[in-house]
Amino acid sequence: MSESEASQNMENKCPKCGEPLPSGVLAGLCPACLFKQGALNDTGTQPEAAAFLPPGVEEVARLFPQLEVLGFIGKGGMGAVYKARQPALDRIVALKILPPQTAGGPGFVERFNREARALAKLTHPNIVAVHEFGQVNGMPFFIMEFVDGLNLRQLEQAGQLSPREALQIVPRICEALQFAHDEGIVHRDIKPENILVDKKGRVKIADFGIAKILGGGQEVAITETKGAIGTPHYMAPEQVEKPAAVDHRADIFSLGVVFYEMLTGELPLGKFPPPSSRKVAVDVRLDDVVLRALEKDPERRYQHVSQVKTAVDEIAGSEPAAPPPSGEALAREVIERDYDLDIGSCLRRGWALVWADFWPIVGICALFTALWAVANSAEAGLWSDNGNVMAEGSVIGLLVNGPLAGGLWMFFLKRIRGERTAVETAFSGFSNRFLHLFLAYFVSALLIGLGFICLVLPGIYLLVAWTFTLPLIMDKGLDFWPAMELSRKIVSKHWWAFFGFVIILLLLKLAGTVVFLVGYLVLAPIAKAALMYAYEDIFGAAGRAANAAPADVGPSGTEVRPVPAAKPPGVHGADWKWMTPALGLTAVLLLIAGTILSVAVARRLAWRHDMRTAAGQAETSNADGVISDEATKATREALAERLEAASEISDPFLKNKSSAAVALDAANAGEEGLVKDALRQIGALPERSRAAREAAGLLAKRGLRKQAIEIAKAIEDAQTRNDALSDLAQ
Amino acid sequence: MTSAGGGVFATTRWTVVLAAGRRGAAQADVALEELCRAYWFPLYAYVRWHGHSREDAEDLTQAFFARLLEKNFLEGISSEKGKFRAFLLMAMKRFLANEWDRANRQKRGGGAAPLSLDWQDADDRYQITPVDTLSPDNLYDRAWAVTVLEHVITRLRAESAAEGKARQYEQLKAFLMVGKSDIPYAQAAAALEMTEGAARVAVHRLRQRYRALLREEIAQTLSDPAQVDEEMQALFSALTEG
Repeated sequence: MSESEASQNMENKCPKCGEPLPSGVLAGLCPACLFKQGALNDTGTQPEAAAFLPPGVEEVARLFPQLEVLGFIGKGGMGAVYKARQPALDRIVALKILPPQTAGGPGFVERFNREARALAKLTHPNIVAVHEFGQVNGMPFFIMEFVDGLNLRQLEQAGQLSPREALQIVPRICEALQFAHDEGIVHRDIKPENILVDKKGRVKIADFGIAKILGGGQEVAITETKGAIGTPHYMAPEQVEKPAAVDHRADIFSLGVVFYEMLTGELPLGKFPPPSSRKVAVDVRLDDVVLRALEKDPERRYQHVSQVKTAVDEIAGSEPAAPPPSGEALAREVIERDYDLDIGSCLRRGWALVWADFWPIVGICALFTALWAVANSAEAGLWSDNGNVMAEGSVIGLLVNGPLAGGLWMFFLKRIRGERTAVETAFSGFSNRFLHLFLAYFVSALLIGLGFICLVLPGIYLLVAWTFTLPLIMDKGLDFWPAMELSRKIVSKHWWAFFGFVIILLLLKLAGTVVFLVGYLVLAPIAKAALMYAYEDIFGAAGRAANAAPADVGPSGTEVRPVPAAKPPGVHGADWKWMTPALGLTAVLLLIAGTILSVAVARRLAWRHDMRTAAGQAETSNADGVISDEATKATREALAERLEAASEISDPFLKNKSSAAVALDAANAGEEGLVKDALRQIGALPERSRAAREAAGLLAKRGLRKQAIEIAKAIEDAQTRNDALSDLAQ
Repeated sequence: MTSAGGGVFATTRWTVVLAAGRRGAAQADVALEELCRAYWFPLYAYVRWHGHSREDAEDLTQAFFARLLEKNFLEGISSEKGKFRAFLLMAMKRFLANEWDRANRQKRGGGAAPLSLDWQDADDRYQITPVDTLSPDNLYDRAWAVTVLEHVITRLRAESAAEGKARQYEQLKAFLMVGKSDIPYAQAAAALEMTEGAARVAVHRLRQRYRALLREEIAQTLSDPAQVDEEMQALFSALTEG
């Protein structure tokens, strides 16, 4: 039993060397230990292991009493690195210990001291600073600045390096290298493992000149400790062929390799193609820069790193000469990669985004809601004559709806990406994109309308399929038709998922409308944010570099990212402090104005309608007030029609008014049944009572006293009832 | 039982392949295919480490073997012929750098798969392989070393089972990893219900056989069997570096 338990434990780590054990055929066996024994003869003596076994944390703590050793960070060909604290200075440092065998050789101590002193003088924001150096127990060590972050290799493996990040990182490397080269120090081992990016996105180069200390500039050392000194892939040809002649231009070659790898994800081996032919998103102009850095002959390379920086900065700083990415290429890229539409996640993140920056986002959306209402109703009030206020598209609405929406989408996108936003962002649709936004809105509204007219289904299809048109125009800089096509292609790929998504968003907005405007004002932004998260998940980094303004270095993976924890700078800063209440106030004022305007328009139209009906009615009556049978019938039908029309009015105020008018007209016509129906339709009690009293008076005037009393008796309000009854008694 | 001494493996599989050269003897084809079948995983892992997706890596590896087995691929490679490991890596690098981009995508794998390989198993293995800061070359060597050991251990276990000593092998296999002086013979003897002397002999035999198989396995990939020690040292340092 104990045997099997012991072998159970052994399955995780080798008890001898601590290496993780593989599973499968070699379950329970440590490859390294197996090999070691396999290479031996039981009769022979065991030679010292060639590989460097880093000392444990306790041993390091014993060797460095002045440090508080916090843990083991990692081990590479160059030795082991530990995280430690200097209690006296209360600072975290990195302790690097080199293998003892490196300390041998002629003149090592002198060389080590000379080089280390030069390194300690290298003070630059992009170079990992060396605080202390020395030798303990024959092991050379450095105490260095601790960088809390990842190296380029790890970033690359995490999928967080895109050409855009490369353009941010390479100039920083150039600055550091130029600084060191000016001091006469060549790095000699530039590779992704030595380039660190801390959590704030700052680039730091580590292990300056250590290759020289280890190698001593001798060819023997490099070939002997293969792998220990620089990975051959990153080494300039002259580093292998004639190491004695190596100068700062070797670093330029290595930088070229790193740059190439960052752009393409692959090493420039053999006859390699230029970076832009490997990846669509790479600016063609970068090819020249990379290829020139990778020249085999140092003479043909860039002669100074600063030249590389200038070239990269020039390209990064200017708009790409290439035209904006074509919709087709983007579609191919996205469809090839495929995507998942995680509706739940989008909604959750949308909710979190709106919640995190409640006032700015809700304020902007309220402002836009108001603007839309005004733009779409003002026009109707001025020109329309048929009382159908919202349904008629207005010219102003048609003109501004697209740009307004485009700007608002961009506002949400920038929020999601954590970029700076201001009120202007939401209005950025009124820029050079105006024409395409307008056209996209106009054409899609036209075609969707057409689709609805000829069978409903094409309309629904197009409505869903063109979900992303406006964001694509704004974000990717596409023209209106390619954007519509791209959106349609992408959405069609998972059409049903999108259909569900759109329905959910619609329901969300509807639910908000039920709680009148307040609910709408909160839920609509969430719906919008959710949709933009879906957009970001799908299009992500695809072709972004081409058009969007470069932002800070940050992750831009294409996979679904968690809720952005970091708030964009300046959200609650000074520029938003007064903006928030001002925005809210403007929105409310505009809303009120919009409502009043539309109510006024509707009332005017309703009044006109009344006048016409009244006129028509007067014509049907004859001179002495006696109504013919035929006329009575026509009047009754007209009244019934009006009553029905009034019942369909959604605005309670207008509904009461119209119903009251019908009640009085019915009383005038002596139609007491219709009077009762009309009165029942009046929602507000005081109005109903008032109308009933007047109607009762009118009925009494027509000699229908009995019916008048009946109606007066039914008045709910006691005071009015008594007044009405006493009126009738006179 | 074969001894570990030099000279016995005068004709290794790799020498057969190399000797056949451009004449393309059937025997050489078989030998090459056997070698490829044995050592395709490190190559696959190498391609994956280069950032190719699982499907791409499968296709690339398959296409690579297709070329390797069908053409006189050997002719172009002058150096690195001594070691099959180095040869495969070099050939793969050339293939990745030159051939892949030129070859059109539909022709991947050349239609028919030349070797039937267990990709699911490969992907699982790839997933559990610790990926750290090592270079793909180093990781390739490491995967190679592990593959060598897997072959050896599989053979060792099969041999033990054939001799009816499966249980004894399971008890003793852990001693393959420790130095001779550290082996607790008494404990092993008690567990196997034999005398300590018998346990000593069993452990010694197992260790000897293991070494012989390891040398034999490694020798199969070399043109000169005298390089076994050198190759063994290289694989050992691949396992311990990083």
